[in-house]
Amino acid sequence: MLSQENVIEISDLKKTYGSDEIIAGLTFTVKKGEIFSLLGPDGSGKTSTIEILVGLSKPSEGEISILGFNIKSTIEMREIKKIIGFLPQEFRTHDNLSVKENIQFWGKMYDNMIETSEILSILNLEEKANTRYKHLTPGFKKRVGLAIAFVNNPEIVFLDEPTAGLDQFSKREVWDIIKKFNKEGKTIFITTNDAIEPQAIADRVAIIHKGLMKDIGTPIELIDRFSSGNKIIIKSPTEQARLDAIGILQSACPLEVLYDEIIISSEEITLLEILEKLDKAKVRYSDIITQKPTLNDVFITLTGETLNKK
Amino acid sequence: MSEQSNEAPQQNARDNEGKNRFKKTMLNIGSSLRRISNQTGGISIKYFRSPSSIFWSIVYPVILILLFGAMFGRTIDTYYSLDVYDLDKSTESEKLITALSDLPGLTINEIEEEIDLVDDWLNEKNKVILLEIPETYGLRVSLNLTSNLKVYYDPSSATAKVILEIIEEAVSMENIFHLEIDLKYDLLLENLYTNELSFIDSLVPGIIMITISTIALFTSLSYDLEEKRSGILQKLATTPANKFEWIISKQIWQIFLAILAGLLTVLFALIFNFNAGSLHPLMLVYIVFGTMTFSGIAMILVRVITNPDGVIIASVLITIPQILLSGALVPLDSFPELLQFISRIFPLYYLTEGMRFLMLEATSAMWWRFFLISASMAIGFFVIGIFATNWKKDR
Repeated sequence: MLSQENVIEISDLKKTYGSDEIIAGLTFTVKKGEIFSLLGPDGSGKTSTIEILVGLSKPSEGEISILGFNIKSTIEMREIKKIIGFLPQEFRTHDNLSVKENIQFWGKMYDNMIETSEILSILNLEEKANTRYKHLTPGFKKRVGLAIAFVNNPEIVFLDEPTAGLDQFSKREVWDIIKKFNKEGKTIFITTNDAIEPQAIADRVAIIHKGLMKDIGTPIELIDRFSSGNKIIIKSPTEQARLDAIGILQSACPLEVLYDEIIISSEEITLLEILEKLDKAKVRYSDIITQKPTLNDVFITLTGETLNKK
Repeated sequence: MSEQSNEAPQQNARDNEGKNRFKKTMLNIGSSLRRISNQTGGISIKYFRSPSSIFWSIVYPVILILLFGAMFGRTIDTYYSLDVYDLDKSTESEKLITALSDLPGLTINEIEEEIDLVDDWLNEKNKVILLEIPETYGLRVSLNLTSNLKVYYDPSSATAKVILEIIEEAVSMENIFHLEIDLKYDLLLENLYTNELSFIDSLVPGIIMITISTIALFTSLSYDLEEKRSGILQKLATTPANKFEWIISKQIWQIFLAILAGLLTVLFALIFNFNAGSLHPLMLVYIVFGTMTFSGIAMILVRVITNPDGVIIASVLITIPQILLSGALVPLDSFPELLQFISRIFPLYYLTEGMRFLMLEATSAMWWRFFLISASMAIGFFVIGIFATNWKKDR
């Protein structure tokens, strides 16, 4: 599906509100037919970037073209609006309209609306067609939002944190829907602060922090480039056991402590050696697991911060 | 020859370009009208599924007209009751009672029972006024002597005061009659306008305008804010729809609701003898002015207010003083001068008075003055509201 044709070209994009610089100079391209993810923590400039791309906000500096149209031109922006779809962050459509009425309401804003029955079928919403939006669960509400974003058969769809606030099961459903539309040739632009999301669905990911691009590439490329093998995570049954384990291991390798977990990312020590040391010192542990590195580890390496500031 | 042959294709190209441009414009207008009708349809479905919206646009005007009609809409059907205690039982006292009975709006109730203490009797019977004709009344009148009628009344009662005024007027007329003199002067009444309005007639424009202001401020304000907070406005801004289409579709629906509320008000006012003949077709224009004015104010407020509590506070702060002080319900001439002056700052005053002058006479100078002020306000608030509306990104 991937092509070399760029559908979005962003060059030195800057956005300032008063003295606050929200976007400090982003340059990247999005290729036709790819799922492109903008990954960064809250306040990194993801939503500001997507709002500029869909015409909700104007750039302070920089050049942006979408499918060859310059977004700074009012006339060209009108053309862009016909061929893009957008799902705002925390979007809630009309509460008192049914799912079907909502889809028709948004579809009729365009000249090229997809048949309501077709979009209901793609999103498995047939059974809820006549249910009022306000009576839906968060997972179904998100599906309706996606239906609305895709209702005009757009060439590019912008999704601003589409899985925020959803449980793991609902997230997977949303990812499946996004992949389904992507297989039909749609270019998808997603913002997220969840490192798992780009790993699960994105072809390429751009990591941004404080309005600046930190790196860009496929999730595998980024992980290979910035993380050092698997992580070993040790869980202790008591506070004393954890302190004992730290005492034994910190002389052997660098480690970090996160809540009740001891995390070792270093290649200086193997899992077997760790087990031997703990057993020899009779230090108890409740669990030891190995974990593959994630984009969150890449983000930590690049910025020294975690994606989820909580 | 070759120049001529070159000109023809160029002309054709220009013609085609013109035709294409015209076709594109027509298609754009068609798309725009489709989006407006789609949005108006969406608003209407939402509206009729919201109990609070139904209340403010349909139930509220009906309650207002029934309430105020019942309180103040007294017409010739309303009678005050006066208890008369005749101690004289003479021909003269009978004549007086008959004269009082002939007065419009007064029903005489002659007390037949013996009363020891009038005060106690009034309290016991929960009455506020009683006229006592003394035993010597007939004799003194026949001897051409002054005879005092005695009135017991509760000074805190408005009804007692009205009846007292009626009695006083009747007594004056009786005195003139007994003096057997010709009146030197009388009053000739000249109506300034072609029509005459009863209280209920003049109440109808006020109720209509109060309802329009309430629909615009309470419902439009909360709807607009909700659409802003839910991301609907932002989403709309990323579709081919534009801000003007959104405002026009809302306006069409509001005008429909305002006309519906106006019709309901008139219909229920008929219960209180509202004179339907006083209605004028140009009142529809005033309904449009009212809708534009209050929608404009709502759009300005949505720009400023960011939470639902603020909507309630702003709506109450704007509507309540207007309703009380604009003369929409209570006649302004009964207000102190300062309040009459303050009433001039409220749009509701000009819209209501304008409609009243229209009902009195559509060509009076006052009517034109109010019409121009109302039109200017409608256009002014609406245009400012359009500029104040930012459906993209607020920071």
